[in-house]
Amino acid sequence: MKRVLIVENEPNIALALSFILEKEGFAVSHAGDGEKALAAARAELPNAILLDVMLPRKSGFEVLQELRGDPHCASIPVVVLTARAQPHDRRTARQAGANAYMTKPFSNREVVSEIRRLVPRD
Amino acid sequence: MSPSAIGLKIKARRKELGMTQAALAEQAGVSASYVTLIETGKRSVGGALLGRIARALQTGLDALDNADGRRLAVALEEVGADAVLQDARPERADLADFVGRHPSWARALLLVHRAYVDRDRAAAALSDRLSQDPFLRESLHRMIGHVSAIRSAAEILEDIKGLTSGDLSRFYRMIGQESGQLSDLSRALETFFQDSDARPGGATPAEEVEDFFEAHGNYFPALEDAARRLRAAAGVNAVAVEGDVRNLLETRYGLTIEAVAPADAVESGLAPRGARLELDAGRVRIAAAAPPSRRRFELARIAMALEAEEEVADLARRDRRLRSEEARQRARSALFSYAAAAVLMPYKEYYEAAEALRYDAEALANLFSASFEQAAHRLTSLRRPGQEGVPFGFMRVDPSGFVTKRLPLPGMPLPRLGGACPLWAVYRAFQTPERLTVQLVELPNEDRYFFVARTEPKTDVSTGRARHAVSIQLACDAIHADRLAVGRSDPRVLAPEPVGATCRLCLRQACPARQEDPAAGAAPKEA
Repeated sequence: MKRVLIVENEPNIALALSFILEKEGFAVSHAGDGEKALAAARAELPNAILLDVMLPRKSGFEVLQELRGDPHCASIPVVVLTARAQPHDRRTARQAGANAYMTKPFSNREVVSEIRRLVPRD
Repeated sequence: MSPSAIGLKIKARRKELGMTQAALAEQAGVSASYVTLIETGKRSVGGALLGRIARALQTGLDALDNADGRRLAVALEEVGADAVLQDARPERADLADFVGRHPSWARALLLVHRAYVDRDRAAAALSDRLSQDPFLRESLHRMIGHVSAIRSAAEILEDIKGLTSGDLSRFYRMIGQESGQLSDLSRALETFFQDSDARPGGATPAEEVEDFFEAHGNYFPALEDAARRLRAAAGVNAVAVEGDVRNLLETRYGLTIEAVAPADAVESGLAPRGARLELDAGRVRIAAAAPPSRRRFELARIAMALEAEEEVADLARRDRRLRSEEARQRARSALFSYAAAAVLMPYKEYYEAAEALRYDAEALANLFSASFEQAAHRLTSLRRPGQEGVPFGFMRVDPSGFVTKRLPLPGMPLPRLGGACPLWAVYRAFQTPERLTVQLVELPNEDRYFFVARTEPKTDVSTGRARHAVSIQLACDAIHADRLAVGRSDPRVLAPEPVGATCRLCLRQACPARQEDPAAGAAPKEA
């Protein structure tokens, strides 16, 4: 079963995202801050990561950079999912190695569609 | 240094003295044609020659030297380089000439540019504040978070089949929770913007005080309580007469009350209020010629200044709208007046009387031995939750039409600058002095109000004679008609009169009373 790591510090958003991804047949895990996100990514090596930017302890961009710097995690597809919508934020995310950039408020269907694009079914 | 500016000055001074070029040339020890060259700016001049020319022209070197003009020219170079002029750059070469020939206009140009730069900076600061204000950024972020959760949950409920009842409750609860928090957030934002409504640095202290009172709805429970304490201490149960207040000042504060003869009232510093507290001398001096309602009010005011000093200082200090010591000082003064009214027209009694007399301000004035203005003004402060009177707005105008005191009703325009619509009762009242004028008006947005206005003579405390009259107007929404004495019986008020707020902002183009064209943007476009 494919696994998605959801990195999001708003509990209700995390809950909703987990629910829909589980309904789509993914195994889901969750981390609420930057440090826990890195630990979980290294431990679980998920098939995809949904990554918020405004996180406690480490920002999403920092997490992304560290992931890309870690040979074990460098190729995990990352979808940045954030309230920040400025063009320079998108550029920063791209440069840091994000595969996709989505803004909040989001549509569940679009998130699922993006994950599906990056994580083909077996 | 531009030669032409000096040349122009030399020529101007020479002509002032009625001197020919030849005469000047001789005195300065040069040829007449050289003088021409100097005056037309084709030769520069300085040193000893300039000194001789200055002496010949009976003027100082400074005057010719034109240091002022040079400074002006340098400053205007910057103006010429301003980005706003990029498609219309003035010729640098013309600058010295311009400054030399038209120094007053050059100075005016500089001042206007400075004002423009200041406004620009203020606007940029405000815009920065908006985009960098931590509260706003935080709020926006949180708002997006709540909306995301709501949207996500709503989509789940909509799209996903076969949700268990547990799932259903979970997501309904999520929507409930997040939308509740979103509501709280929107309320906080609303308050933030209300508070930030302060004009950027442009408000006068008087305007800041008006904003302060408006924000408090002209109701101060702390001062009502203080007034009640004072009355209890004075043993006053009924309408407080002058004797009661004098007695209080004497016994509670150990002050002597001294009446001052009319002739001495002005030099004793009693004008215009009519009373003065001299704490060091242990006395209150009061103008004998002040009318009784004034004397009583001013004594009550002094008593409250002593009684509620801390409450008032606290109210003024804590409020962000009062940004200067002058504004706080004025606010304190106005709050003491409020407190005085609360002593003479105590809340519960006044409210009950107002209801019983159907807000007849004249009757209330008689009942409480107050002036019409005092009684009318007190009506605007009946805002205690659970004992609220009809909401009133208040204004006072002087004979020139200028609004000297404003307590606007929320939603009803009351101009800040200058006068209101000339059709308003407050002005018409001058035609029937000291008699009530009642009016039902309809504003251009179809809101209807009752206006009740009356003039009141302003007495000179040094003679007891009227100086001039002011006009007082109370305004209330016409929906309260059935609670008002004027609302029912008077056939005059049945037909609403179309009025505006002020000509500058009014859309009634055909109004015969129009004084001024509406400001740009106020008038509707041609059909």
